[in-house]
Formats: sequence, C-alpha cells, structure tokens
Amino acid sequence: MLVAIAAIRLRDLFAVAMLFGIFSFLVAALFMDLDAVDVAFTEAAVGAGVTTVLLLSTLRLTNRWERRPGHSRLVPLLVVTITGAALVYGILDAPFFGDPNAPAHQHVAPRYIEQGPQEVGMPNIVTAVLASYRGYDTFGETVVIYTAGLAVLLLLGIPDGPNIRPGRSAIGDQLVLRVVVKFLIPFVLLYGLYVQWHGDFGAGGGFQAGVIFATGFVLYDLVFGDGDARMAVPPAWLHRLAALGVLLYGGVGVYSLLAGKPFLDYTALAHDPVHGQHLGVLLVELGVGITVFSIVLAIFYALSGRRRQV
Amino acid sequence: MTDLTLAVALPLLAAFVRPLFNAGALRWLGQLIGPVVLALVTVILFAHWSTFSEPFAIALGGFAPPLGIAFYVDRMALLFALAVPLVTLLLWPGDDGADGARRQSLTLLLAASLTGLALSGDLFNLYVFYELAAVASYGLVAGNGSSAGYVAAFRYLMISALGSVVGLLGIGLVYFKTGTLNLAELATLGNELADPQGLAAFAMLAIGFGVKAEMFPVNGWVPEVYGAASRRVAALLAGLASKLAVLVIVRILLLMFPSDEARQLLLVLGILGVVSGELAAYQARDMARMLGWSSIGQLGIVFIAFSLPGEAGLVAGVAAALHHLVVKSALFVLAGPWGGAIDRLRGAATVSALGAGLFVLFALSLLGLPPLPGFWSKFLVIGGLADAGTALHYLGMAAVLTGTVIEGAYLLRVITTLYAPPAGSPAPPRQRGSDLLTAGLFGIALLAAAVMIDPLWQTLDALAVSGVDTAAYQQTVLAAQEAHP
Repeated sequence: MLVAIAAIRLRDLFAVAMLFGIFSFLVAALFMDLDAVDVAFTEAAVGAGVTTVLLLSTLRLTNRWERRPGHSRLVPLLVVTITGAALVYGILDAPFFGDPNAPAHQHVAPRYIEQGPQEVGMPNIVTAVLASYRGYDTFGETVVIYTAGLAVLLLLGIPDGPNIRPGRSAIGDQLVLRVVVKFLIPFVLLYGLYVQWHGDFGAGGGFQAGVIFATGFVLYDLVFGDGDARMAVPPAWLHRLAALGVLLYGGVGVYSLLAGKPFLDYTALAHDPVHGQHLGVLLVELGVGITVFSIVLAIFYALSGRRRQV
Repeated sequence: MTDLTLAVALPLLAAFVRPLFNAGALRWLGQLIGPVVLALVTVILFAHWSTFSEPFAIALGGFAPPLGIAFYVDRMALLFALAVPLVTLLLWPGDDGADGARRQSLTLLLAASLTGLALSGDLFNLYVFYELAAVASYGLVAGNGSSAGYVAAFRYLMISALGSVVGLLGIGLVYFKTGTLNLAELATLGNELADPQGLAAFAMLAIGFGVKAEMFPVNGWVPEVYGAASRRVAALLAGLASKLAVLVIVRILLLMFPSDEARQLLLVLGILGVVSGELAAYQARDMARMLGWSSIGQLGIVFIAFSLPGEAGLVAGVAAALHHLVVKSALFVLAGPWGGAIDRLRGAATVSALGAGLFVLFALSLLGLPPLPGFWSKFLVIGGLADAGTALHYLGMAAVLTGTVIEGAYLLRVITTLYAPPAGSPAPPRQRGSDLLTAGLFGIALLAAAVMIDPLWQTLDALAVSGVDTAAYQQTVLAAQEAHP
C-alpha cells in the first residue's frame, strides 16, 4: 500500500519502475499467504522480474523524469475514490475467506478437486484446470500473448542498427557481475526447464517457465553486452518459435478433432484416457512455454535495440 | 457436428502460419492463405446455417459443461458468426510491404476472436476472446505508422485496458456470488444475481464489453481511432467488431440479468449514446471523425432496441445492428480517399459519380428513407418503444427521432458538398476502383435486403424466437454429452 502511494507520488520514473518490482513481490507474498502458489509464482516471475526489465528498457528510450500534468488532480482522485468505495461495498457482504459454504466453493470446484486426479491424472489441480478443463481459455490466452508480440513487432520491429555493439555492455564492464551471472545463468535455465516439465506435479507450468527461461537470456544480454543474446538466439528464429508454440497447442486441438473427439480433447492422444490427458497437458504446456519465451525475448529485443530518439 | 470449432481454429492457425511464408518461393502461398481460409470458414458456417434445425452445444476439450467450456449454436450466433468471415473477406487488407504479412495475421486473429465471441457460452471464455480482439485491433490501429495512429492507439489501449479491468471485476463478482461462469448455468441461477450487487456486476460487464461496442461512457477513443486508422480497419472495427461486442452484452442481459433494472440501464446508456454521438457528429468537420461519432449514435439506437423486452426487442436490435454493419462498413470504405476535411470534397461527384451515388444510397438508408432497410430497422425500434410505453421509453423515442433529424442535417451537408460545382484547384479526390468494388458489394447487399424484406423479416422473427428462449439454452448446454466416462 505504502509502496503504491510512493509509486504514484514520485516523478522519477526509474524509482517508480523499481517500486513496481517491490510491489509485485509483496503481492506475490500476499498470494502465497492465501495459498495460491501458482498465482504467486506467476506474479513474482512476470510482475517483479520481466516487467521491471521491460520498463527499464522503455525508460532508456524516453525521459527519466515525468512531466507535471497540466490538469487538476481532483477529478481523477474523485473517480478513483468512488470506484474504490463501490468495490469495498460490493465485498462487504462477501463470504469470509475459506468459508466452505461460499458459492464459489459449491458448484464446479468440488468436482475439479474430487474428480480431477482420476480424470486428468495429475496432483496439481491448478494445472489440470488450466490446461485441461479450461484448456480452450488457456489456448486463447496464449494466442493473446502471440498477438501482443505481433503487435509490438509491427510497431517497433527488431532493428539491428548502430545500437548493437556485441561485447559492450549497457552497464559497463563489471567483472564481479560477469562472474556471478555466468554462474547463475545455467541455473536459471535449468530452473526454467524444471518448472516447465514439473508443472503437473508442483507449482508452475509453461507460462512461468517461458518467462524464467527468457529472463536467463535477458540477463545474459544485459551483463555481457547489447546484442550478445542475439547471437545465441537470432531474432528471426523468435518469430518462428512463437508461431511454433501456438501451432503446437492448436495442433493438439485439431488432432483430437481429426480423431473424432471434440476440440482439445486430450483423451484422443493415447489409448488410455488418463495417459492421453497427461501427454496432452505436457504438449500444451510446452507450446505455452515456447510462445511465452519467444515473445518476451522478442519484445526485449525490440525495446533494447532501439536508439533513443530525441 | 463438431466442425464448427474449426470456424475459430482455422483462422487462428492460418494467422500463425502466415508470417512464415513472407518471402521466397512460397510467397504466393502466404498471400493466398488468409482469403482461402476465410472463404472456407464462410462455407462451413453457411452449411450450418442452411441446414439448421435446432440449437445445439459443443463441449470443448471433451468435458461436459459446466466443467468445461461450451459453444452454444443457435440462429443468432450463426448469423453473427457468418457475418465475420464474409465482412473480413470484403475488407481484406492488401499486402503492402514487409508489414503486410503481420497486418494480415492480425486481421485473421481478429476474425477468429470475433467468431469466438459469437459462439462461446462461457463468461470467461468470452473475456479471453474479447481480449484477443482488443489486442489485435491495437496492432491494426497503430500499424499504419503515422504518429496520429500511435496516439490514437495508445488512447484506445488505455480506455480498453480500463474496460478490461472493470469487466474482469464484474466477472469476478459474478463468480463470487454464484461459483460458476457457464452462461447456461448462470441462467438457472437468475435469482442469485437479482440484487443491487448483481446489477453492479451487470454494469461492470456492460462497461467492460461496451468499450468495443462504443457504449456511452467508454467511447472516447472512437473518433480519434477511426480518424487515424486506415479506413478498412475502421470499417472492420466500427462495422463488425462493435456488433459482436453488442451480441455479447445482449446474451449476458438475456441469460444472466433478466431484470427491468438492467434493461433500463441499457436504455439510458443508449439514449445518452444517441444524443452525444449525433450532436458531436454534427460538429465534426472531418469525414472519418463524423462517421465515427455518427456510429456512436447508431449503436445507441441498437442498445435502445435491445433494451426492449421480448422478441420485439431482439428483432429490432438485430435488424438495426445488421443494417449498421452493412452501411457503416461501406461508408468507411468510401471515406478512404474521401477522408480528411469535408470541405475538400466540393464537386467530388463530378470525378467519381458512382462513389457519390453509393454515398447517397447509404446515407439515405441510414436516415431511414422508406423502401430502404434502414427505414424498417428504425420503424421496428420506434414501434417497440411506443408499445413499451413508459416515460423512459418515450424519452428514448424522442432521442431516436431527434437523432435522425440531426443525422439528416449533417449527411445532407456532405451530399450537397459532393454535388456542389467544383472549386477548381485542388481537384477533388477520386475514388479507387477496389474501394468502389467493396462499397458496391455492400450496396448490392443493401438493395437485395430492401427487395427481399419479407423473407428477411421471417428469418429475423424465427431467430428472435429462439434467441429469447433461455430455457432451451440452459437445457441444450447442460445436456451436452460428456465425451468420455
């Protein structure tokens, strides 16, 4: 709360970006406290990790100091206060947290919890719901990410202009950082892979894994020099990788359709329904992971490769 | 018949494949892929439309609703879904330069998400498709590369993001109160949402989905975006995307909030939209902006129509929505070369008589001149308002009639400018052949509708009867077969 107020008051955008990172971590901790491990994981990886880097890359293109707004601040304040009050009013007679009689725990949720392990065959219910029961939504969200990446590329493109100086780092030559990061990166990537393949047993899944994996490359690029990551993963590949990820997801859907089952029915993938579910979820999560990874990295390239225009 | 899911899946897959064939020997394949897929989808949907007997549901992922996500297919859904690939095909963007492939990809994504909006029967799934449509349209708006386009797209992004957050809160509130997101199951729980909190949830959802539907408080982006985006994109957003968003709001209203308060809310927002839109259009001196404001007014009429209870409201609303779809798309296409200040168009009729003639045709239909379909749609709306007969409904009637008068004033101003003697230099802009062809096809559709008004009327009637039948919706969706034990 304090952090959020500070973020609004400050005019130094660099500090604001940092505060947002802290804010995300606090929110993630709050989610942990509410037993929503998967959500907390996502918030930490996306909110605190990648968003901060992207915000900073954007800052490099614009000014560090925010200009004073010309209009009065009373009207926005009034609108926000009224909305907030309405929200609090709406929540007032909501059931208490964890109340088993709350409507949210009455309809589909018990079914997911009781039948999920048998039907889909994996301990992590969140992954089962996301990737299988509501797989179509997740497909849609992956497509949204792909679309967002496409839109950013349409706007910015990935330039390889004079700003690309392989071997020269944006933050200068710092030996300690280099050594530490060199040690860290394999672990970051390994962790990304672990999260990717282990999403059905523990917290995590393709979305978080893609972000973590991309963070590894972003870190490499930041510390070892502008454009170094491009040699490891050329921008031209990212396009294809992103398309490949969504195609994998959609392909699973079309395959089940061809096998005479409904769209995205994973039981079509193997003889045993539970096996099929398992395989389907793994493939689909892989698709999500690939797409998220390549889009995050592509957006980072697009931002970091641009020269500051005055 | 599961192959309806392909209507959404095929354009999506085509959109992913499209960037891969951007250069080299297979370039022609990339050029072809979009139109071919859209034509295929049109054929699939039309096959369903022509053999349609009674509504059915499709369980996605093989989980019976409400566990999984379901598509619900009735005449209303099919009609709007059919409009998507058809209109997208008519407004297909040409391939100019390196960005052409990305633009075509985004157009395909937009088409897929709009089809999904027509078919989906799950609140959160609707939100996902809505978000997809929104993201694709940011890219399309900003993609024309002008700085005005960036500014407009950013503004659009801000308003749309605000709408998304509000809409998501509404969805959260609904889930909070009921524990389900399936529209059919929500319809069986109508009473649980019939309190002030439920009304608040409806208002939030309406504002959330209303951003694209150009609903009254959240339509500040409209004139700027339509002024800055390429005209074909503007036609796509104003003509097509807004209608699908309207359809979503109508479904939510019919199934989840069958209360008088919710209808009145929609009516009031519609009246405000008509008044503000038409007045602003009268003030506008720029062609695209004028059309943008006028489309806000027209959609206000659509909302007023849908706020009427029963089948009459649905018939009037669908008629008004379809009419606006055809006319506004065509007008935006004509506004391509004729964009910018209206004064520039002095004597444009002398250089492109066909374009001017088409403009007059669409303008007259928009006003509601008797033999044209526009007359019937307005006739239905006003008749319905008179039948409903409360003070608020009479106010709505007054708004529609006043709006028509204002509309007449500014459209006639454009027409007299078009037919005025040319001012000499600079020469008035000439219409392009491809735009004339597109607009001409819309014009033929409009005239055909005027000739075949009787069968059209019967179709709309049948559509409305099944549209208001929420009991059938519940039974069909909840009885959908589970694919595996």
